[in-house]
Amino acid sequence: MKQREYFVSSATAAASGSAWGQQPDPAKLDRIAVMSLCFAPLLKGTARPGNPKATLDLMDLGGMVADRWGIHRVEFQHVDFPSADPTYFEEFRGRMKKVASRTNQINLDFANLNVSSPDPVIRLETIELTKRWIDHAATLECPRVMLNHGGLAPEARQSAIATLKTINAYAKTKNVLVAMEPGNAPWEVVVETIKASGTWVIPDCGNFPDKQSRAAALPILYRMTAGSSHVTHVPDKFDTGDAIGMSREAGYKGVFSIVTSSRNSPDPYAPVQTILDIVLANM
Amino acid sequence: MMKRREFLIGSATGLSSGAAWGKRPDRAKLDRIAIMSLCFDGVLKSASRPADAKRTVDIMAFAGMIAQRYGIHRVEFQHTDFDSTEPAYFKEFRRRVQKAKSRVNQIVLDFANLNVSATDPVIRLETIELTRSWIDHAVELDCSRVMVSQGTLAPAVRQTAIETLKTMNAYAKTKNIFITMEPRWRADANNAPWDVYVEALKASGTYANPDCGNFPDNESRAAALPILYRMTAGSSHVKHIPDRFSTAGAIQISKEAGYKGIYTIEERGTNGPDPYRAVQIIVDVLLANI
Repeated sequence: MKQREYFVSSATAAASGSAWGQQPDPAKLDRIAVMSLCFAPLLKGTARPGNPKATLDLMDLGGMVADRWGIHRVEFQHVDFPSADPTYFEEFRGRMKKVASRTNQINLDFANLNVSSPDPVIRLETIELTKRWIDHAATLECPRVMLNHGGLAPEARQSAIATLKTINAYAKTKNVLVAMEPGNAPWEVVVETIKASGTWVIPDCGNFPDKQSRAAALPILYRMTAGSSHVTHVPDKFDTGDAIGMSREAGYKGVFSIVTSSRNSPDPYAPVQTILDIVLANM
Repeated sequence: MMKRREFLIGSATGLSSGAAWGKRPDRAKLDRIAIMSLCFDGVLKSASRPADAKRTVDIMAFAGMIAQRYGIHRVEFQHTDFDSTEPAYFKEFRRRVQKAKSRVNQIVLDFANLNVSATDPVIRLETIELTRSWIDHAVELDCSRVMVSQGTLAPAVRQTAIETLKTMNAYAKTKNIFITMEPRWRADANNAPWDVYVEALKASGTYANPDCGNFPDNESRAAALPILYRMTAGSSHVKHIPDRFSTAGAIQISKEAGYKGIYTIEERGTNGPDPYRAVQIIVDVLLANI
């Protein structure tokens, strides 16, 4: 058995130590976040009115994650929030604090708006909406927002970089970090753009077309983070334990934010547990 | 026999703001006229078309050009006109408008793919958020009104559209900004009849921006305008399309409704290819009829 296979299988058996009655290492748990995206089918929301499976209120997600896994970092999509009114965010922040949790990151994926748009009006609207969410992140005491880079096609790259610089300048005034993950563009292009705009990387071990590019990119990306990364688990494509090993070798000390999708399992809790076990065993 | 309103229009065109006879136009009347940047869309410099030689007017210089050419000191912009939304840009913009002794009458918001009638709550939330940003920018520009797009107001989305408008309006009130909408019941648009639009205004607490050009026929125009001119936030749009309706007749309706607000000229090529001349035609119609 290879070392990485051992880690994965032993981690799965350990199930965060709960199977043996062990408490997971709190220092390790403190470096783990869970994304709301993992529970998308269960989340109540105006987007899913009347869905009987949607039983989990977004306000309760921080508490559920803390209770179930002892994890006190939760990451949200901007589309999760049913309101952007200050009173809503104040209540939300209060609910997170009540369970001693914090918002790790807000991921922005606006309909039809991104920094790579060839239309300057669309780019300006992207800036405007991103600024609003930077403000909301500050209200929620969330240190990071992740943007959609939109593809970074060669003809749009310079204007995308200028747009990112404008966004980043505003974010700095609010002590919020602006980050992007590789995907939908060659990772080298994302790295170039991030360097040119002064923004940060959210490494995601799942966002590569093959093992070679993953192995080449991750050691670089884990040295360019804003303190967080995404961890996916797609065993037939890559080895998650191995990716976490690369982060260690790169000296990464930040957060591993768990992201699953409904393809992982019909039960959204189980795949989160699986990745949690892998992360705990390998970080 | 020439009807009274036709006479007024004909004589107004001859007047050309009084300039042809060396007369100064009535200052009080000029103060009730605004001009939309949209009238000059083809000659405004554009970041997306930097090489277009026809585009000679910088948006920063727009208020000055309007003041100098027409003696009009109210200008109305599309949100898409602005090259930047940085505070320093708006500060400079406001300075340039003030230098021309002018003011921004209204900012018209027409976001790409976003409006209050979206079925998707995420899109509605993004519409609220962007509108709030522009309400803040209106404050930066000393502008008292923003006009939003109501979308279709189709029965299935009407209640959520009204709720969305209420949320925007609550924010706007905290900034002393009026939210307005114009009727958009055109044959070529998938929008609600004017009475549905009035219902939405009343239910949301927002205001009408009457536009005499936005009706499919004279009957609906005659029925709607007296009501709309009593529901304004102090401004309206005026088009001049003589083969479809009488602009003088529409202005008369506004007067009979007791309207004392602004008439903002919206001209989009219906009065000739030269935007300067086309705007002058409507200025003259207004001066002769308000």
